[in-house]
Amino acid sequence: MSMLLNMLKSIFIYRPPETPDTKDKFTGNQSGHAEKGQNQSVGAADDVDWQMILQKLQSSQTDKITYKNGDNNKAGPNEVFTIKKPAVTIKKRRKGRKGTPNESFTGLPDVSYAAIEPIKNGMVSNKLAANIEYLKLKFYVSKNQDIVLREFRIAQKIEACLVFVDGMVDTMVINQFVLPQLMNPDYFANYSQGNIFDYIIKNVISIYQVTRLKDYDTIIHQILNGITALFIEGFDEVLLIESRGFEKREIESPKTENVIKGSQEGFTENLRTSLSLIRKIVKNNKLVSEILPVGGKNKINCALLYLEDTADPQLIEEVKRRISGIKYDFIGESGMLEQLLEDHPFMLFPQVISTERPDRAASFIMEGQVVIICEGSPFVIAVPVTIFHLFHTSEDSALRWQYGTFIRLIRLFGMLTALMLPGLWIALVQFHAEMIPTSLLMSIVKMREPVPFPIVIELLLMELSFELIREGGIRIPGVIGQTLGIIGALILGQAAVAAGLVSPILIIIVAITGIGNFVIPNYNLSMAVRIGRFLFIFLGAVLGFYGISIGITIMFVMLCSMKSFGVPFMTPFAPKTKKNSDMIIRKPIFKQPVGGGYLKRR
Amino acid sequence: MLREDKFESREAVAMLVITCMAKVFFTDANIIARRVGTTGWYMVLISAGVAAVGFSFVYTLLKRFPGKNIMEVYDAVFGRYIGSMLSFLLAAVLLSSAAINLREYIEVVKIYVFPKTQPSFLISSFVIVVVVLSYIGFENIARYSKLAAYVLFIGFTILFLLASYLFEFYRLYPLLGYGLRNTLFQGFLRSSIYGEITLAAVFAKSLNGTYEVKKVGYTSLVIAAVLISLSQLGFILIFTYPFAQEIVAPFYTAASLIHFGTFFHRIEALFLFIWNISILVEVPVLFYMVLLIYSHLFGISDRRPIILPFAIILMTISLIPENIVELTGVYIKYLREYSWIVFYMFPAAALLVAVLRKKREDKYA
Repeated sequence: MSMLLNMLKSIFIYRPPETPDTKDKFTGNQSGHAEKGQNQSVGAADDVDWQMILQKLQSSQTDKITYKNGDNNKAGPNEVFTIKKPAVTIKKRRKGRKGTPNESFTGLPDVSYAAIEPIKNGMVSNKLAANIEYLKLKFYVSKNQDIVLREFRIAQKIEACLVFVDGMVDTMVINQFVLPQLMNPDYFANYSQGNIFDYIIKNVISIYQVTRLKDYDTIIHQILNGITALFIEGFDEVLLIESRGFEKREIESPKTENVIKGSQEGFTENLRTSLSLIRKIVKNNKLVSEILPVGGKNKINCALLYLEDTADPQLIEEVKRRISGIKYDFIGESGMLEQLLEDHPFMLFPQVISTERPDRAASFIMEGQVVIICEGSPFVIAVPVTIFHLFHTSEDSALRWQYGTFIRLIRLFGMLTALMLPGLWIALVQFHAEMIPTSLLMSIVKMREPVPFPIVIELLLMELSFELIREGGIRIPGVIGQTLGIIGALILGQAAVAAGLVSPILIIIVAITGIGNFVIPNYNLSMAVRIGRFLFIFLGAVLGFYGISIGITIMFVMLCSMKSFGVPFMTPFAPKTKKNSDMIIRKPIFKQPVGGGYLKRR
Repeated sequence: MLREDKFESREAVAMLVITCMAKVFFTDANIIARRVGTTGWYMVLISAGVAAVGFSFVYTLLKRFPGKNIMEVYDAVFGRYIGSMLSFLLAAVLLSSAAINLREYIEVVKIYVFPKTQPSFLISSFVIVVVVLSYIGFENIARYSKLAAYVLFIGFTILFLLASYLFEFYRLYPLLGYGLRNTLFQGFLRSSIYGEITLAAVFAKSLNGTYEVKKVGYTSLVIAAVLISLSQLGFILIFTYPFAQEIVAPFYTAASLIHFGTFFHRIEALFLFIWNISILVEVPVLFYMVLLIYSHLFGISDRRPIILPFAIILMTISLIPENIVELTGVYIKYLREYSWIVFYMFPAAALLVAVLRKKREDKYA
């Protein structure tokens, strides 16, 4: 009902578009400079009711005067904690703005305008009250229950406030290593003049990582990351104290990339844990990890990892450019990120590789690729990739070269089977039956006798059933899912043959195809193959081997046209780049250089 | 403006070899057997010699105008109007070749695999592929050619080895066939089968300089000549020459004769992939060359809008022959026997004019 009312209001009641002038009137600010500054700040000053902040500041100032008057007798003047610098700053600003419309604004004390001026420009104000009011508005503190603004006095004298998100911080850090030290005057016995932040960092807080910042965008982002921010009255800076301590999953074996020989550690959803897992393998001072926020609204953290002297600088720049250019509001995990990063969104084949194995990610870094770890996902992304990367597993290198080569060839065979076997079968039976030896042909014909459908329907029926069982098996939890998959396939297949719906040989074809699909080590590639299979079935059914040839040609020409972050997908084969033997055949490990010189951008 | 496609010399060689080779898989071997009897295997080498001379004209001409393709050279030598006319004729021959080769393939496939299917349906499906590949781009067709070349070479070798037990060397006799003079004459006429080598001059800008054009041209010619000669040799070793003259698709028939035990026989359908893939490279390459020349002639910077109209023209031309008899008796005959004029004689004439009028372009001009 209210929605309807709002709609009617919006239709019938005219509201003039909000111009900069009307905004100024609203905020009481008619200065062009301030407007410019407001526009410059990226997100600090948006949708903030400045009038409300001003009113709050005014009321808090009145309170403070009352409070100070009453408090003077108790505390007494203390020369040590007199903060003169901010007073000078305020005076300067007053001087600078003499005669500006701010002064002529009705009733409100000029100090309030000076206090919110930096905030409008996206910077921290030296007035603690202004900062607190701004944060309260920014975080919707009246409604938001887990944003904590803990006001206190440093050494029982200087007004200060800690801001953090409950649940994202380790409360022990705040309770034992931050608040007690800051509130205890003994820790400030040697403090006289100068910047209090310097003193606190060097003498008071025993936390390993602290940063000073002025920019509100970053400060708010860091608070949301679980960092605690310390605001101090009279200072236009903030001390960010490392206090992250949210709940996380323990390191477990990878769920989708099991190996027999090799590491059994997998990434977790925690960014820092994942970073440390890679650092544990690549103990190289040139390993760089850059953290970038991504997602228009949820601003999730993602880390870029690369070897400074190995990765192509152009590639690094390109990855950063693409990540910072993402305007999509919500990035939940790496799967979403990879879709926004890839070169050809409409192509079937994946153009980035995702892995949940730290050893594999480390090998990518060593080859000169850039690894992107996205907070909240145990899968990390590596770019650029070639089609050959999608065939490899970490086990290939762990095994002796003969075994590694053998399993790679098996994988290749599996992939070709999964992609083309049903299409080839249908083409063979429908168009090229002369190829089938007579005895086998007789057997096939005999088995197909009771089947009422054309072979293409029969095949599609079985393929779809298999896909259903497969998808159902994943959704049903735990062991039941696997059992259902196996039993479902067996019973369904048996029953379908008994009912005369499909021929037994087709069950074999579909089963081999399914197994071939499971051999593919990359999940995205196996999905592409599953879809591609249906295209080949269609081509085989319509045009026989000629159709399959058409499919192969189009598929490979498309593969040749694809690029992953500027690197051709078929590199180093087409186009030929620096020699790299690690494509399908694996050479002895001592003959196989580490390094991705072949990954040249074009 | 579209960027110039760039690819490496190996890819260009693979593309040109496949483009030359694709024809011999179909009715060409049969026609050669009719013309020269048992001497087809060295007649194609004579043709290669003639083609080498023809390509030398092309290369020498391009050397005088470094950094230019053959269309630009024609313009520079003859002026815009005559130059454009020569380029247009080249485009017309290439488009006709593409259409006729496509129809020839479709006719052969229709005979052996799709006896009840309308040729128009098969041609349409092929033309769709041509359109798709042209949209994806020439560079990628070249890349794919290199991939396909390995597969085709392996397939060709397997076929040759498997069929080798059928070889009878007495079938080579008489060694001079219908006479040496006839062989030489036919060899000269049929030098057009290597005419596609001169396409290197059309896409010269995609290669790294005139030297690479030379390298690509001669290498492709040698490889194509050896492979075509071997295929002709294999063909004549399997079938006696009177019988060879009756077979529409000799290689398909040869593959059907391979028989090892109960299970390994009638594998000709498997080798369909060789012919299919080779023709799926050849026709799009010729088609794209036509687009390249046409876009040069009319100063079209983006080739994509002209793909579809040209695809319709390609389809229309390929539907003109009424049947395979008319196709081989008229169209293929004239195209394969006289297109050397366009491929070799036009560049030769241009070279002559350039030398006489002392036209050349400084490399660093």
